[in-house]
Amino acid sequence: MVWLLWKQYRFELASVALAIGALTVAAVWITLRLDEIRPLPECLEYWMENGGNGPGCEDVRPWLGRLEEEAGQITGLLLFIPMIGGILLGSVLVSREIEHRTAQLSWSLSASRRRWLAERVLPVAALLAVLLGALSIAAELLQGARDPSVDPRATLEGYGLRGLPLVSRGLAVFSGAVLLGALFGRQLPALILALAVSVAGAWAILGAFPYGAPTEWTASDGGGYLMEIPEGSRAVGYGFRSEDGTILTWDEAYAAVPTGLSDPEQWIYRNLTPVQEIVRAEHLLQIELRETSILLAGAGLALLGTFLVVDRRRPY
Amino acid sequence: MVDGSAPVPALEAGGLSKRYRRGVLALQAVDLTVAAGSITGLVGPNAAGKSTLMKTFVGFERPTAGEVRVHGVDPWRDRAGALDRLGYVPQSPSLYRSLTVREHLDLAAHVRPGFDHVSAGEHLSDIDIPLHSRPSSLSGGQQAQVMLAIALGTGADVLLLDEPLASLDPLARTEFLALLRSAIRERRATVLLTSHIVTDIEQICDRLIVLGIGRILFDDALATAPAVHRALAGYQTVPDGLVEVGRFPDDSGEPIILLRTPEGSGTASSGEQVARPATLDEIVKGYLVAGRRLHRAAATCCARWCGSSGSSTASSWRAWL
Repeated sequence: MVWLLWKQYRFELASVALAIGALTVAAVWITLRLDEIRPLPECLEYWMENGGNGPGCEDVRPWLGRLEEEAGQITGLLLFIPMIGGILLGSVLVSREIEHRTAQLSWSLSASRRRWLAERVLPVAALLAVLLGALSIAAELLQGARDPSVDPRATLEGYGLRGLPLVSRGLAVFSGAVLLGALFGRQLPALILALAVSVAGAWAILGAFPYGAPTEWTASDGGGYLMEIPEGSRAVGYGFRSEDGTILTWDEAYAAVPTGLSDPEQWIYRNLTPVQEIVRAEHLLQIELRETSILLAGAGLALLGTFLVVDRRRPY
Repeated sequence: MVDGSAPVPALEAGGLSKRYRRGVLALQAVDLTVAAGSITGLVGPNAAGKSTLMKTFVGFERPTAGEVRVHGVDPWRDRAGALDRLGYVPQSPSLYRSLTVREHLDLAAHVRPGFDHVSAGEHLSDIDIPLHSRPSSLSGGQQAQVMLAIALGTGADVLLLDEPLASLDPLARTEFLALLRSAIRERRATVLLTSHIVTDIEQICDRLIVLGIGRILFDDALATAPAVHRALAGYQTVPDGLVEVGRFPDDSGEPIILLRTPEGSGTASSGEQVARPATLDEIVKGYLVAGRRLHRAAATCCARWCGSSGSSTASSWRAWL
């Protein structure tokens, strides 16, 4: 059956496997190139503080060059390739059978449409998971090479572009696209709509970060407007803390200060302290698991919906 | 039957109606029983409801009203139970472009327990269809043959063949019918075959059903149908002892009147001596014309009565239409 599945969808399967495989290889290759000339931590530190090579440190500039030119290009692809792979594989899986009317043959032969669907969805989903799994590991290694001073598992830098979310996002998009394909029964509308829904879904899922993981409001030591956050953490909200400890939004703070004080730096003197809501890097795994659970639950629901649709719909 | 009860028909439809979402009424209160082992031809014009009837038996369409059964099993409620007894050839060949003929047989063997891969392959080899070829390299007739071979390979005792001959040339039609005939003889299968071509039905079927405007207009055994029907050429009055069914032009434009003996009457009458025996083609055309005339009459009555909503007359005409 897997062989027949391959023959039916070889263009999509080969394209997605090639794209994700190439991206994985590229990530590993860039990781190796960065590691090749990785500067010493003290050199990087000197560069960050002084903007130039420190004594005995010549490799920082070429290393940063490679980082910007090569690793930067990969990052954008890491966001889109899993999504596009999921859409490309998912949207055609059922819709092509209906559009080409081959479902009439399969469904009149197969006593169980659910089994028929499972036999096409599960191998393709498994393949996608394996491909994205390899890519997520490569992306994790790349993150380690990009910032050698921090363990990639101890920073939220590059969150979502590596690790579990990379896999679960691809699978969620795939499942949604399969459902749309079953609903519409036409490849192109399913493809276009899956793309639109995925973009909306990505916007929603990114907006829901950190998925209920603990956050905290912090102010900089000096109480200034521009703040640094603890290494590896990520800011998820901004506001002002009033004297009684209440957190105000920008709009609320603006309304609370006298007219004319448009510069937030001046608000400090009205006892409004700029604060940031941050999520600490130690919650990385928790956040990843939460997002993965949400996405896999969504994927499960989409597949359940697909089973219901396929069970009830006409094969044309 | 050991217990004395009536044998379960292979196919059964009772009060079957199907209305599509756009309001098109494809089938109206169709009652049909196809006995096991019979070969029934279903004839009708386009949009008569033939394919819809087939699809309700396969479980692809859900009846709006009434019910269908395959060997006593409702295909909508117990799809597996019904499909287990069915082999289906859809109107348009539904072959995978990317798979070879052999791979189609592999696929069928995978999804259908008990599929006879060997005999299906042999059927196709006998008619010189290479198993390594793809559908794109096969003619329409060969594709239909592949679909039939798959349906036969299932070993199902009921075959639903939805206009499999439509796109075939005369030779391909003959080959298709020969393959079908030998397969039916081997296993005593029940066949419901739709077609536009009456001569094909005549060659293979033992019963004819004419379906038009979603209703069964005629249903009789092929052996007895010509005996009770007569055709009269030209504009003539209907002879005594015969009932007019419908008037239609023949191929040269000459009007033909299809007549039938009233039910229960004897075979000999003065009218029957005037009119010649009707051909099957004439019988089909006569009933289709009669169905169309009835539909027009109903539409006219509805135009008059259907405006007065709620009246029993209006609802009767609406129901008819």
